[in-house]
Amino acid sequence: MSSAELAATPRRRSERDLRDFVPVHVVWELTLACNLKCSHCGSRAGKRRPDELTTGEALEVVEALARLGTRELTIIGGEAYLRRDWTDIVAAAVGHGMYVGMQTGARALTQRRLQAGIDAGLGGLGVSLDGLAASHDRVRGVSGSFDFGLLTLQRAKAAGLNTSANTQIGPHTIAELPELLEHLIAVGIGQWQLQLTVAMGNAVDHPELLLQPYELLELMPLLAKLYHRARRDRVVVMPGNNIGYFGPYEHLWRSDRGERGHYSGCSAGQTIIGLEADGTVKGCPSLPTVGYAGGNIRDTTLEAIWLAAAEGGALRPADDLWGFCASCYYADVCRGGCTWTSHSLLGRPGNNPYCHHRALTLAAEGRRERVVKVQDAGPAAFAIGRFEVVEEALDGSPLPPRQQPPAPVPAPRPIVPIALDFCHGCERFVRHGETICPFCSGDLAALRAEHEARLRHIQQVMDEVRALLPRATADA
Amino acid sequence: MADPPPVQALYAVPIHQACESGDLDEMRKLAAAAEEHLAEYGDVPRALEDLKAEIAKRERGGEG
Repeated sequence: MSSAELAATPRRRSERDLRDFVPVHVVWELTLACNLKCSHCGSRAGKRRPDELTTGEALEVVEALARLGTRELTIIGGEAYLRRDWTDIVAAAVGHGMYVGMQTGARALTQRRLQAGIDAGLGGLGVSLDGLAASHDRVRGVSGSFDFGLLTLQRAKAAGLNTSANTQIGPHTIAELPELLEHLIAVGIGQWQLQLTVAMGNAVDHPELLLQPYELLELMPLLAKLYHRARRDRVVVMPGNNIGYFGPYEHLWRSDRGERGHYSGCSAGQTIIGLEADGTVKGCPSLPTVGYAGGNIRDTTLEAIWLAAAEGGALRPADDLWGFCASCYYADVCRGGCTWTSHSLLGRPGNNPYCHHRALTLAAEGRRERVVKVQDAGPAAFAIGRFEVVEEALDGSPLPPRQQPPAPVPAPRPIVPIALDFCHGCERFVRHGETICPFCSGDLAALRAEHEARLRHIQQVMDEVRALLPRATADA
Repeated sequence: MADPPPVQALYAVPIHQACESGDLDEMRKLAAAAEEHLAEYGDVPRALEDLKAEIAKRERGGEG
């Protein structure tokens, strides 16, 4: 059995965190200033916002987060380190016991700057690497940025920081992922977060950077293979919340210490806050500002915004489901997946073609989905355009459109997510109460019993070997 | 129910405290420990078989 050990992370959420709306993890865009020119950048970063928070305002935000119970802070940008007082903000958060990590493109994160962050208490560093050198440099708009990213990871690792990488996946990235992983293993990262490039900001100007939904059929088995490859070198592959959902590999992505964890719907505004550099508060850092901002800390306090939003659900995504997602087997658990992904693509959440279960279901019917841009995005940060989903035959030939069946109205989203059972035959999640797996037709109770017997046998074998070894060797 | 898994916010750093663990790792560690033990003490089962074979030969030869 494979699983990630997550017990000690400050980001772990208890049922109490969910019920009390504790903003466990905050992702804070310290500045929109950026020294890269990424052609997929959703926030169109480059110049700083004209009205970014002052040092005093930023430090008051840290105080408010501490009062709200925040345990982990990720600083991002633009490039967070381009803000002169970034180490003061890090030090203040660390002073309140928060774990602070920085996600960066690392172009000018020199040894001196990195050391300043470490001296302030920075705990970890994530570097964004979107492919091998040529394609990364091309999409990031700066020659040499891939090499500097790897060098920065080496420096951070040598300095004792936790190190990780984030990779955005588009159609050109897929073939490069195996070799990229070898580079990441070589520099000794601990975790690799993967996410799909989303149709927002600059990415709308470059739709060729967006994966087609049917390409998940190729991508997901590859990610499963890479998961096992990475595991041999103790690197945890951690798909972000826009990679899923369910299908045969879900148990790899979100399991924890043998618990069969699974995706449980968009968590925006429940235990996470996204902050923009001008003090705008959102339920997730990636969501569009328009339609998802709960207020600005210059108008009222962060606590007032958060608590009002928690009670009224203003920062939470809507419950409406439509299209395929409305009548999906996992509808009331998944709720259409990542709100940012679906809203950015289609103008409203609740129907998400970037789903492995959906792609597999359609493929079984000889169909696939393709997205086509029909409207450009505006010039603002987090601007969205509009795409349409085209259903076609698996070979790309046209098919007549079909009417979606009338969708049941989903029950309100529960505060504590619904937990699914697991089929030990086909390794898919199934609804609680099922007796026969709807995917492999296996007898769920019998398969569970077989699985438990196998675990008991493994335990017996291990106990026997341990008993034969001297105690010190067996405990090694 | 088990706690819900932590959120993997996009553009945030991953969960830096996450590390791989599980039965398979434990089994591999245990196998490595057993191999180390065998290497340290030599191949006792084979040596014992050789010894027993020699004992049997001597016994057949009538030695007391």
